[in-house]
Amino acid sequence: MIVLGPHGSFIIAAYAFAVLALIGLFVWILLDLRRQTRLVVRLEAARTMHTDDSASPTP
Amino acid sequence: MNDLAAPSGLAALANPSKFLALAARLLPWLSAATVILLVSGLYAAFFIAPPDYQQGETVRVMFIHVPSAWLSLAIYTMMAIAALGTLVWRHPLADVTIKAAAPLGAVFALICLVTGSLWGRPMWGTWWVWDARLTSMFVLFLMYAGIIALAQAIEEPTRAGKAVAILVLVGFVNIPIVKFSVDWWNTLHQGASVFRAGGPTLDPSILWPLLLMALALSCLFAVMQLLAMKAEIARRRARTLAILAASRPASRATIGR
Repeated sequence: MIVLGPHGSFIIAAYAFAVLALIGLFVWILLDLRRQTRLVVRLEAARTMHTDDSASPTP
Repeated sequence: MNDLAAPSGLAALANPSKFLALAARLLPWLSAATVILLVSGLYAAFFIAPPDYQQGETVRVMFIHVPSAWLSLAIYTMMAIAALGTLVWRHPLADVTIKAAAPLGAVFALICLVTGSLWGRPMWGTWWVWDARLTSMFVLFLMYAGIIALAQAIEEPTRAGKAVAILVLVGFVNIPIVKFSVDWWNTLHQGASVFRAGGPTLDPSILWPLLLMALALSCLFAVMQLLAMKAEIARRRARTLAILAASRPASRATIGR
């Protein structure tokens, strides 16, 4: 195991902050992508349904 | 009409579906490269690089601090080029690039500031000084925050894109200040030791783990940038579909009149 010396807590804190910040950013981007993709799918489906309704002949 | 033609390689990506297809092809390779490079880089930083003769083990903070600083500068430079793409060539993906990159640049700038502070406390005896390098880096972080705020404040994407592009170009003046602050002013922060006229002053045993970590974080940035751009393109598509959906009853009423 590596010995980080008397200032080990500063080194660990620096890497811990960087890891947390990058993981947080990555998760935020993935959640945003999933939310927007689902929204597009829902709106596309509604649009298709509307087009089908408009296209169907009225009695 | 815009008379200036965009560079041909970039013009091909003007169609978002072409960009999305390219992103889908690149993402698995970039993700794999990121994992391999990060594992190798962290191993080299902690187990291969020797302690510094003056700073001891504390030098290991450099392997996250310096690449974060480089990336925050490189991301802003990329945003400035994209801002030209928005204002000069009106490239459809240029403002998408800026909007996606700004939070990433902000996080890398924040990591640089926080890790620098954690490195400075044991080495300089202080968490923070208002010297030219630290202050200009803090200004860079504030620029990123301002760009994010402005992009959120204007709802219409084209108008937001133009306003943000102008702000990005104005803020670009800070990039050479950050880079050359250690040469222009007497700072507590040390001078350049990698990208300098006489070549790197770092020993190769410390230099190559640093470059490996820089490559790893660059790949991580590329992955996150592509994902964030995909999200932004989807957001704009959703907006267009929502506007179309909202205008339907009105258009039907107009036709029926």
